Amino acid sequence: MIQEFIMAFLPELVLLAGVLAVFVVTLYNDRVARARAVSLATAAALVVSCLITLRSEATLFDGAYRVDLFSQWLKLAFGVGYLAVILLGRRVDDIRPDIRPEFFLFLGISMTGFVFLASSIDAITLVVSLELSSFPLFLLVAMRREREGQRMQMESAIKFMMFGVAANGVMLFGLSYLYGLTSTTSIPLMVQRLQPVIDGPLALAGLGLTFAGLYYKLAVFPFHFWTPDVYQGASNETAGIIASMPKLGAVVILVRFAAAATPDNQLITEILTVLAVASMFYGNLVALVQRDLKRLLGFSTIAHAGYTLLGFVALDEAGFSASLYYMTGYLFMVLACFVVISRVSRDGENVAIEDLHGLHRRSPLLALTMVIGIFALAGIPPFVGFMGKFALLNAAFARGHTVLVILAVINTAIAAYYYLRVVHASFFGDRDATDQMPIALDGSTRALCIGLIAIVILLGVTPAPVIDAITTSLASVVAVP
Amino acid sequence: MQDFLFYLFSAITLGGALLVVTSRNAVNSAVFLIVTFLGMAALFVLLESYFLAVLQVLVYAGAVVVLFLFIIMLLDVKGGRRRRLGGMSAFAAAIAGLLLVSGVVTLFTGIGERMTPATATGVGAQLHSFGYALFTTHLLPMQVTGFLLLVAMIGVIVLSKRLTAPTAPRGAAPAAGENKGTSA
Repeated sequence: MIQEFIMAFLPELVLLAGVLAVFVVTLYNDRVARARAVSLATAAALVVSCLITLRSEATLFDGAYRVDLFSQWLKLAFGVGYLAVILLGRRVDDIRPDIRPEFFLFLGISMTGFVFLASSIDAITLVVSLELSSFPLFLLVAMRREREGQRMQMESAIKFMMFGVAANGVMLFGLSYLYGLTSTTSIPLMVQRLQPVIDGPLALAGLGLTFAGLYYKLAVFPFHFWTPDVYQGASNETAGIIASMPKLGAVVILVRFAAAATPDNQLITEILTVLAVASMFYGNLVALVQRDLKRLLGFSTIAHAGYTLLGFVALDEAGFSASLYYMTGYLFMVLACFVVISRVSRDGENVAIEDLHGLHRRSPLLALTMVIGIFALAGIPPFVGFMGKFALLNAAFARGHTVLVILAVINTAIAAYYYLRVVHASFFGDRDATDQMPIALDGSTRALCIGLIAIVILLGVTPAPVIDAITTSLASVVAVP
Repeated sequence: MQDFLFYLFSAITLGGALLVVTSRNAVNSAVFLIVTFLGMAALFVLLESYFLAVLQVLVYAGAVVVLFLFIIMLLDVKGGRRRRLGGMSAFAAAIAGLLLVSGVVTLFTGIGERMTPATATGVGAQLHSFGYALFTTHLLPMQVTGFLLLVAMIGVIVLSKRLTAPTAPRGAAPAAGENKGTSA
């Protein structure tokens, strides 16, 4: 009994033990290096334990927590992301010096939230995990170092937190409607009981409000307004975290709830279509004129949230697995871009596109990482971004949303312009030889760059087994008990 | 009798809520909030949710409102000047209010037959079922909430910590040569 519990709950136990160890470490001397080392070991142990428990299946805590292939591969993705983020935050220069170790503590606690999120099938467990994953991120934004006359990070943190807390409130309010309708907090049961009344105003209001809270995390238009400001105000490492993990987490919850609607549900399809089109156009058009690289990625996030919704417009298994595949790939593409940003940045400052000039001479590996990350975001084969977009478009097309598919393709073309500007700056843009110091990379950064490139390419060239695995694992989520 | 009591306590709850919003003095608002909470506790008793009623009085009418009062008195909040809405704002507010009311009315008319009626005794009704749920289904969230409190506590310390001396404090990274005399 207890052995089975440990086998199913191993990743969580490892992560919790690691986070508590980081907490203890932050209380003593020489805190930064040790906190980072302990975090690194925790992340590695998390990845290994996820691999060990990949095939285990269990329902824990009286039906509130489901461990199956779906949750375990998500935990694996989160674990690899965690590892990458720790390597990315090499010295976390841009965090206030006296509180640097706490960066790793908050990062670990936030990761715990995401790992719990992957398995939560009870509304209350889900909400609490979501809070656990987002509260430390609010703090990470505020922890950026102050510069002369610059308190941008506080403004960003306040925006992020106010909107975040409001979005959580809206989501809870929606969930209370759903609970009132179904009188259960278990999500599979809730979804099952919602299906007959899905067209009723109360179910629509409940689902709508719940989704609104999640769209905030995903940065879908019109819940996007915090995104560019927070990316710009947060330190480079923090922005990398905010850009990657919460998006995948939000998609996971969306999948769990979207199973309530059948593909021929006209109203929900139409709402999602409008949101997807608005996000894509808004994000891509505004990104065209950005100069700050992080702000550019912020607007491109909004556009990517729009692409992801294509899978939800289809409202079937193919669509859901395409969305999940795309978001998993997105996690690594965007992390690749942020590795380059945080290494190119001088003393942790924000990076403008012009700062990339001559990057191929200053550091060929960074330039290569940037190009692959950007090409993947733009959706150029053979990287994962292309296969992900292809799967999404395919899923939407199969359900007959031809206009939506055409609009998405147009958007991909618009986006190519500003993505290629970044590539142009890194390879062809030239500036006077004043600022052409080579960038020295340490071993862990090299390993991180090569690892991220390998993941982006591998996921892109072998889409079939990955998508098949996701679809198989989805069966237990989408199928109503 | 039941009906009479329901309407009586509903009136007390709503009247209290109205006074919370309309009072000029923040302390008065907080005290009227207690009236509202007590009315709601009475409504819970009518629904046979005795435990929830006790919690309502203990936690909300007791602890939370005392916290409000503490903050109000600590910050010495004066009853603010009455702000007048401009023509446009009043118009916009009227439209927003109308939309809200019409939305609520549409939402709650004609859905009675389609709803699954909530069971009279929910999880929070009896101490036994509440405790049972807390230690089975909701065991994990309860523990996770502890982690949330840890985050809140460390977060407050981290954000309110002042960096007074130009030299970095004990244990910080040696690279700390900048950031003189700034505060959080």
